[in-house]
Amino acid sequence: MITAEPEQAAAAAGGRRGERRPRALAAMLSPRNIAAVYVWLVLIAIFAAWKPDLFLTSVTAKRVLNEYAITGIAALSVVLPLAAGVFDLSIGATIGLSGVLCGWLLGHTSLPPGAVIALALASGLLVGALNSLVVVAMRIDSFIGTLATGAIIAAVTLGVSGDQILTERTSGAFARFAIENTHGIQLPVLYLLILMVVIGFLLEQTVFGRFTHATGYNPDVTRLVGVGVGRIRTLTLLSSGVIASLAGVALTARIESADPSNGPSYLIPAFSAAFLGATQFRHGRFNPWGTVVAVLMLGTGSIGLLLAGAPQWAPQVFQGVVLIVAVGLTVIQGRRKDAA
Amino acid sequence: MGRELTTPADLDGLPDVPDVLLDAREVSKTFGEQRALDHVSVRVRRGAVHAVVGENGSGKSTFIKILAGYHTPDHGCRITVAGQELPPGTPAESLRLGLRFVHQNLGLIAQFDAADNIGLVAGYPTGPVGRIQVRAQRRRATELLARIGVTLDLAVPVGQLRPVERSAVAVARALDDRHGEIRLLVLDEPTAALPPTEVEALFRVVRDVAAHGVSVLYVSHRLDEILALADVVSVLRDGRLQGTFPVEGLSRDQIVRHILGDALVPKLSTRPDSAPELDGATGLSGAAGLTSATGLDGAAGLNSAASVDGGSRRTDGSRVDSAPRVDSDSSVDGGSGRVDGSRVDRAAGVDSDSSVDGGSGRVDGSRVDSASRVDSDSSVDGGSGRVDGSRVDRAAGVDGGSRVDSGFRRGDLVRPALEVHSLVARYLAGVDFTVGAGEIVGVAGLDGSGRDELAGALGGAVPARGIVIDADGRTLGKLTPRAARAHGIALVLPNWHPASAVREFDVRENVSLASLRRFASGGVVRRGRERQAALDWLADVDIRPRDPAKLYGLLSGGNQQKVIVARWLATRPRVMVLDDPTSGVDVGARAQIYQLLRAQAAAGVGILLCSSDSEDLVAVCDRVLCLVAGRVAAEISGSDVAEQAVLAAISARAGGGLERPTGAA
Repeated sequence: MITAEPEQAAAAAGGRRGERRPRALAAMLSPRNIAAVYVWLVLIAIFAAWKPDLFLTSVTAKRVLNEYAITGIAALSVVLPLAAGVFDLSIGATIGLSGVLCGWLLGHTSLPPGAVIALALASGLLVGALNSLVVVAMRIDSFIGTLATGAIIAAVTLGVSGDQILTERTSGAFARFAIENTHGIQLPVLYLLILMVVIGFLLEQTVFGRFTHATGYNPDVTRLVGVGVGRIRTLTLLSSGVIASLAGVALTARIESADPSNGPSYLIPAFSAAFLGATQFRHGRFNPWGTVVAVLMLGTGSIGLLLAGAPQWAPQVFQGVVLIVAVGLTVIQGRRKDAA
Repeated sequence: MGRELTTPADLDGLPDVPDVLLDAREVSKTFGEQRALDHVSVRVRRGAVHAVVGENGSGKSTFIKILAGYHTPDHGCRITVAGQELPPGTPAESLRLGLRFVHQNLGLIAQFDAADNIGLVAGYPTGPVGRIQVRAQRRRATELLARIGVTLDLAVPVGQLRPVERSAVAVARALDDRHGEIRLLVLDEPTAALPPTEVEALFRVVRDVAAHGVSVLYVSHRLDEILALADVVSVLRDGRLQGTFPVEGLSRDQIVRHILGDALVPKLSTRPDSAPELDGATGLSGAAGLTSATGLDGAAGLNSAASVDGGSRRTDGSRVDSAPRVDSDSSVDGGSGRVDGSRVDRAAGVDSDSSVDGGSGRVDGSRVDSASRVDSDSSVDGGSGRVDGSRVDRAAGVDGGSRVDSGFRRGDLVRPALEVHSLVARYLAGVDFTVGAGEIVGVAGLDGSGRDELAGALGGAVPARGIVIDADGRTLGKLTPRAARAHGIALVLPNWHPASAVREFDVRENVSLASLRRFASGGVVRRGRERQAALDWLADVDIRPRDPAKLYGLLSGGNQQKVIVARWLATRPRVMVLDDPTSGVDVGARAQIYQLLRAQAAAGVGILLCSSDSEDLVAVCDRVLCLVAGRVAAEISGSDVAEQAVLAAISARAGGGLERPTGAA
C-alpha cells in the first residue's frame, strides 16, 4: 500500500505533477515554513565570523548537543500534550522530582542503578496519572491544574531532598546513563533522537497521532466521531510525565548530583522550543522535528554568546529575542501570503 | 430607461433615479491569479433594499469587503457614496461616509451583554478616570434597540439571547450614528442562523431601517427572502455582474437562472449517461437528462419520469403536452431546469399532481394508487438509462417510486432502521418515532422546539435519555457518540457548528476522521489508502476542485457541508441524522446534498433530516415530524408535505412562532 502511494498521487495530480514538485519543494524551504532553520544558519555564520577559532570546532558542536540534549528531551515531553490541547506545566517539577528521587534512592538504598532509574521513571508515570486525574477526570483546565500539581510535586521534591544537593552514589555506574559517549557525544543525545523519531512517528503516522491532533484542535468534533478524547489526553499526560522524568534522570546522571532547584528552570525553554517548533515544518502543528531544531538553535546561540564572552545573563535574553524573531518571521510571511 | 440622467455607465439596467446613494463602478479585485471581481458596477438607491445574490465564491463577500475597506480593489474603479468618493482600502473613510456592516458571524462577544457589545464599536461613555458610565451606556443601547423596535434584557449575555435577538443587537450596533449619519447598512447573510419563523422579525427591522431613508445592501442565499424583502437584486456569478433587476415581476426561477447560468446545461446534457433512448422517445431529453445528471432530486426524478411516461405513451407532440406542465412549474429550459428542480420538486409533492392530472390520468394514477405501480415501474425503467450513469440517478430512479405515497407506505413495511421511544433531553419531552430503512423522515420545529436537540441526542452530542433501537434491533445502552457510532448512527452537523469539523485539518483528514481505522493497519495510517478514499468520497459528493490537501477552513460553506457528509458516509451508516445540512449552503450544493440523501435512502439507509428550512423538508422527505414544545405535535406525510402545512404545524401551539415556546425543560 505504501509503495502504491506515489503512483496514486501521480494519477491524481495528472499532468500537473511536473510543476507540482518544485513548488512543493519551494514551499517546504520557504522561511514561512522553516524560519528557525534559517535563523540557526545565520547564527552559526555570525559566530563563525566573530570567533572562528573558538566557535567553529567540533568541541563546540558537541557541547551544544550534550548540554542541550536534556532541554530537548524536556521540550519533547510537552509536544504530545500540547498537540492534544493540554498544557503540562508540571514538567519542570517532574524533572526535579525524578532527579532527586534518583539521588535519594542511590543514597538511602542499595538498589542497582537500573532499578533506581526504573523507579524514577515510574514516578513520572505517577505524576502523569495525577495530572490526568486533575485534568481529565476532574475536568480542571490543564493550565491551572498542572500549575497546581507542579507546585505540589515541587514541594514533595524539596521534602525528599531535605533541601540538600544529593551526591551519594550519583557518579560511577549511575552516571554512565548520561555520560557514556561515542566520539564525545553523550547518551542523552541518543535518547533525544530516539524520542524525536518515536514521537514524530506517533503523531504523523498513526491513528493515535491523528486523533491527538484532532483532540487538540477540536475536542468536540473528535468526541462526536466516537474517539475517547479523555483517553487520548490521559495518554499524552502519562507520556509527558515519563519523558520529563527521563530528562530528570539524565540531568542528575550528567551533573552527577541531584539538586531540587534544577528542574523548574527547564520549563520555559521547553515550552519555548515546542511553540517555536510548531511554527516549523508542519504549519502550526506541534511536531518533534521543529522542536528539536528550535532547541539546537537556542543552544547554538547561547553557547556562542558565552564563547564570545557575553555575560551569563545574555543567553536568556537571547532565547527570548529569538523566540519572538523566529515566530514573528513565520507570522509576517503568513500575513504576506494571505494578503497576496 | 431615462437615459438623460445617466452618466456613461448605465450598466445595471436600473431605472435611473436621481438619488443614487452608492455608486460603485468597474470594481475589480484580483487575488493572486484569481479574479474574484471583474468590473462589477452596482448602484444603490437611497432608501432601497438592494439584494446581492450569487453562489459561494461568486464575489459577494469580496465586494462587501471592498466597501468596508478591508480589501483594496484593483486600480480603475470608482466608488462614491452620496457623491463623495470612497478612497479604496480605508475602513475609517467607509465608516465616515456612513457605511455600516453586519457580517455573517455578527461579531458579538457571547459573554458580554448587549450594551457592552454595542459599546465595542460605538465606544463607551466614560466619566473621570476613564470609568465607563454603565447607566448612560445602557440607555444608549436601549435607545438604539428601540429604534429598530426591539426590547430585550440588557443584563443577559448575548450568548443566551435568541438568534434573532443577537442579530438585532448587531444591527442596532451598526445603526449607532454617533459617528455621523448612516447611509448604507450592509447585511451579510443575516438570516443564516435564524429559523424561518424569526426571519420575518428581522425583515421588519430591515424594512424599518429602509423606511428611515437608509439604504440596505442585503446579501443572502435564500431567494424567498429577496423576493419578499428587496426592491432590487444584483446577481453575481464568477465575479461578474449578471445584471441588476427590479424584484417586482421577477420570478424565483429567473433569479436562479442568473445565479447558476446556462453554461452548466449543455455540459450536463451531453453527458454519456443521459439516456439516449429517453431522448428519442420523448423529446424531453433536455429536461430529463438535466434533472438526472444534476441530481435534482427524487422529486425532479419523479417529474421527469412522469413526463417521460406521458411522453412515451403518446410518443409525439409530447413535448408540447408535457412541456407546459414543466414550464408552468419551473420554466424549464435546459438551463434552469436543473435548479428549478430544487424548486419544482417541491411542487412535485403538491402541484405536479394536478398538472400531471391534466396531462394524463394514467400518470396520476401511478403516483397515487398502488395498482399502477407497474406503470411507475415502467417509467422508472425508462429513466434507468440515467441510473447507470451517475450515482445520483439511482436515487432518482428509486425515488420515482418512493417519493410518492405508495413509496412511503413501502417504507413502513420494511424493517425500521431506527426506533426511538420516549426520548427526553433539554427541550425534548418524550419523543417517539420510527425511521424505516430507505425512508427520509424530516423533523420540523421552531427554535427551542427540540429540533436540534433531537439530532444531537441521537448522535450523543446532547445529554439525553430514552430507548433507541438500531437497524438490527439492538438497543443502545447509553446515548453517547461512541454508542451511536457502534450502532451505525451518524450525526451530520451543520457546517457553521463548531463541532462539525476540524478547521485546521485538511479535507482528507476531515473526511477520514470518523473511519480512520479502516485506513490503518497496526495503528499506522496508510496515507495512500486514506488519500485515495478521500478522493473517491470527494468525487461522490462532488466537491470541486477535488483537492484533498486543501485546508477545510478555506472551503465554501457548501463544500464544507459536503465534506462533513462525506465523513459520515465513509462510516457506512445505517442511519443518518442530519441537523440543518443546508444552512449557509448555496443553491447548487443544496440540490446536490438532497441528491446524496436520496441516493443513501435508495441504498437502504434510514435518514432523519432535522431542518429549520422547510424547503429541505418539502424537497426530500417522505414524512415530516412536526415538533412543538419538545413533542411530536403532528406528522405530515406524502404529498401533504408542503411548506405551508409544515409551517402551520410547527407554529400551531407556539403562538405564531415569535415567542419562545414554553417547552419542557
